[in-house]
Amino acid sequence: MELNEIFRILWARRLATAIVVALALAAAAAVKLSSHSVPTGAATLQILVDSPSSELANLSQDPAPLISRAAVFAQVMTSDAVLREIAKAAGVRPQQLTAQGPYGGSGQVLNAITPAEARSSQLVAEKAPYRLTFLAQQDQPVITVSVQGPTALEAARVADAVYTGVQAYVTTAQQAGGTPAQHKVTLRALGPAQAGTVNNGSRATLVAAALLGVLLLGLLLIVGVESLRRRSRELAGIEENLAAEFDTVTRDPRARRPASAVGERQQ
Amino acid sequence: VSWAAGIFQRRRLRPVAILVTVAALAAVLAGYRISLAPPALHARTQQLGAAHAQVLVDTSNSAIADIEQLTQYQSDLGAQLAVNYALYLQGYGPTAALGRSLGLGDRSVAASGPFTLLLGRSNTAQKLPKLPDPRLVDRSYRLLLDVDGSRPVLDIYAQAPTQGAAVKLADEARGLLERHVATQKASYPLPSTSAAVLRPLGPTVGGTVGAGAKWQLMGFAFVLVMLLGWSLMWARRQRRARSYMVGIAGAKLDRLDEQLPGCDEWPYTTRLLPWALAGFMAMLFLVPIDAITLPIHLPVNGTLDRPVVVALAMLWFASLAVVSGAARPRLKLGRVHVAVLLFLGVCLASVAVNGQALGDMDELTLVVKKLALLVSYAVFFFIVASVLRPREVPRFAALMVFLGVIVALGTIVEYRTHYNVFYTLWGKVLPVTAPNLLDQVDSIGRLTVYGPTLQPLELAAMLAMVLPFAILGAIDAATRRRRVLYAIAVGLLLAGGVATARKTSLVVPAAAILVLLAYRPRQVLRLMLKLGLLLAVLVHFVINQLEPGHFNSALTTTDRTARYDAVTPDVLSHPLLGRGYESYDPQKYRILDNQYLDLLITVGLIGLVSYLAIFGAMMLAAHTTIRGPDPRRSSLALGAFATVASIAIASALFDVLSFPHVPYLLFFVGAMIIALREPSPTPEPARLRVTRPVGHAGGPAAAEGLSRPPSPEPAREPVLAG
Repeated sequence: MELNEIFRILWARRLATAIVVALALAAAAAVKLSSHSVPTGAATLQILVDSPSSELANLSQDPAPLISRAAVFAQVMTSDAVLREIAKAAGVRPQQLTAQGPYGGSGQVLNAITPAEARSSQLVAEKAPYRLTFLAQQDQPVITVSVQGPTALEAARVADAVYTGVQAYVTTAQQAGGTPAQHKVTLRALGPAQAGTVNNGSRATLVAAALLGVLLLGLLLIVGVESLRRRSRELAGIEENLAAEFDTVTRDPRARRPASAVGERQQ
Repeated sequence: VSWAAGIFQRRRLRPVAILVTVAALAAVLAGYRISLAPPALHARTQQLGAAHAQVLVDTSNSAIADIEQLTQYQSDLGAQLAVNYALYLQGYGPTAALGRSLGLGDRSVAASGPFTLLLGRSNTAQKLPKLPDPRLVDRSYRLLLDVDGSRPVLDIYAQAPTQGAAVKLADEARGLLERHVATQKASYPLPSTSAAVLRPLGPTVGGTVGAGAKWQLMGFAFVLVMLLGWSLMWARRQRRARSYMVGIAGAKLDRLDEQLPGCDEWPYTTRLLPWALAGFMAMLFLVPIDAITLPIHLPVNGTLDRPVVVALAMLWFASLAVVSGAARPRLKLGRVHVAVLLFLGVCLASVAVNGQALGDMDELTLVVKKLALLVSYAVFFFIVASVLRPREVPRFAALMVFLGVIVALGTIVEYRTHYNVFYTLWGKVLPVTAPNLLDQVDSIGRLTVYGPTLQPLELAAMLAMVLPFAILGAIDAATRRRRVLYAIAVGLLLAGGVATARKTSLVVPAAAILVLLAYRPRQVLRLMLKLGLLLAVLVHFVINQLEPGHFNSALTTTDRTARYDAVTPDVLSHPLLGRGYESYDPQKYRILDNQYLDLLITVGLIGLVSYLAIFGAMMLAAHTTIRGPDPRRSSLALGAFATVASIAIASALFDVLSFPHVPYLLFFVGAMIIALREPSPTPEPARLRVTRPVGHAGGPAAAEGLSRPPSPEPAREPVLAG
């Protein structure tokens, strides 16, 4: 089908075309309105795992136990127990938070090979708007927290709440175990959360995808249906002609065409 | 009942009623299993319950709280203990106990792990005896225990038909472990600093995956069967008229062997677009385009093919705007075009529908890049299909064989000497980023031979795509010299493919040869028998790869099949439109090595069917030409058919759309199929679309513009058939 023929079909079916265009615009508008919470904000925070007499101030303290503790902390911080404390401190529902990391283990070398059981749990958590990642430094007792959220401000709010939430969890554990004051693990936030805007163009991408997708599929549907109808009519006409010719031939043998001509047609 | 019987009695409505009944039955079968004794419908498991719990292996004074409690040594011991707990919970006793507590009777739950530590998992073949297992295991209740080997935390994942059952399974597993540890501690009292304490890290969290999957799958099955049935009915009703029309269309086609005086076809043409396409093909075969990123700022990706496609598109638009007559590209929308556009539309729709989640997971950047690449393929296809002429097809096929032979030679050289001629030479003039494993042995002991590509699988597929044209060239060659040359080409292409040390290099050519055999059994078989000597040379070149022990040493097939189970939750969570085109990042989630699986996850069943429709449309179009009256067109269409079929097979072996050499080549071959269905244009020089008055300075010759007048060249021998 030539290009100008396609335009002719679309013009002939201008009501359907207009509806498709309207639907495409509506889809784009709907995506634009519904994607207001696509994460465009990110915030980061660093937490030092320390002792009451700060490692930074005490020359005689070996930092190695603190470094190994930071790695354990990074993993414990992804647990639901800590996430609930963080959600409480941030004033959001616990279901709105999900955490990933820390990354490690020999499986990471061959890329993640997450089995179905673990993947199911990841999928359940995919809808959460706030995504937290905890990364322990290799040779320092420092955990880097990264938060993605709908806006930079909200991401920063949750990032700041990470420190408060983890602190609350640790305090509860210390109270439950009766930890002596000089042995208490001390967490120190290394400054307030740093926030910024990321993924600025994500909404425009989605709007364009919705507009073009609906437009393309809708126009294809119009052209496809119309060309099928035409084709059907054309084939039905030929079928009728063939049937009429067949009738003529069967009734009047003189009208029969030479075998060579039939052969040509069949080719 | 009488109403339904009435419908069945009406002649016109009867087929429709039968079709609706069959579609409804298919929908029911998609959602339910039918048992005959006793007769009943059992719902299929199309949703999964998932749960996750964590346990910290700690001491009585918590390491979280007390600074004195955790040293590196203790942390390692705790991590090792967590591994032991993970293995304990996988034992026969605990899994049977868990089965009983879930009400499964004498059936155990399935347990595995830890996957992060890769314990007991190896990608190389191990000749271990497979012992019989008398236990009854219910695989719909699954427990996964995970530890990373360096931190004292045990992750317990559970999967069951419902969320409640999954949460219960995780809770029971944690409880069982706590009881086991408590029993052990009671049997041998330890000081508080040494005794392990299991601390649950919060309650078990659960959820449901694929809650609406059942109805979506049933609806899809209904619509698919309706569409297929309607297509069959439509084709059946009008089969006589269709065969008549095909006959007429075939009669209109000129024979490619017959000379057409004054034709203006590549390479004897001044039309720029065919030359540009030939240049693009040369680039595709000889340049590692994936590894070259030009220092040009583009909105998406600066790899070499993208700016070249943009330039090609600009030239094409210029030709549409300026040139008239036969030299003007002819844009016609056919079945293949519709299939390509449909696939593109579904991909865009999948991204729009899942945009929110993709944005949440910061995966839109990857999706945009992949969409841009898909648009590049589509644009390239539209351009080639509108530019290529039937008489140019054999010449481009010969060009492909020639370029394929160069690549094959380069690949064999690389295999034997570990010297990649493509990367080395282009690296001297362009900013080439060589892959890390270039000519190195990979993690499972295979030499990675890249040729001009970024993946040995891509290289193997590319060489296999050219093979059918070489085989048919050898069969159809008119002279002995050409036949020998094409036979050598076949041998080199096979040798080059096998030198990639991938099973794909055997499977894909075998599929192509099988297709050729189906259409021309005698000729292809005779040729393959004659090629015995060449195949011996091939074995000599690549003897190591063909040794039985070496060939089977990598568990790539087992690895591929293991993925089918692992991606089930992803498929069920978005069964119809997927999670967004190509949003399943292999670096983040899992390397699938299967385009169909990838599409099933990212664009769902609708996207997968539209992807298959591209192959179907191409093969259907080629089939009509194969059965047509012109032997030359038939031969070329058969070559193209086999190429398309081989990529349909290759799509099950690696993610074809991620490696641009193969899709570009596929769409070029698709465009060749379309060109073969068209009659040659009437010889006519190209003209600029500017009309000038007669007698204008420069005369009529100057007004004719772009093309020289047809030269009185002697008749040329077609290239492919000799």
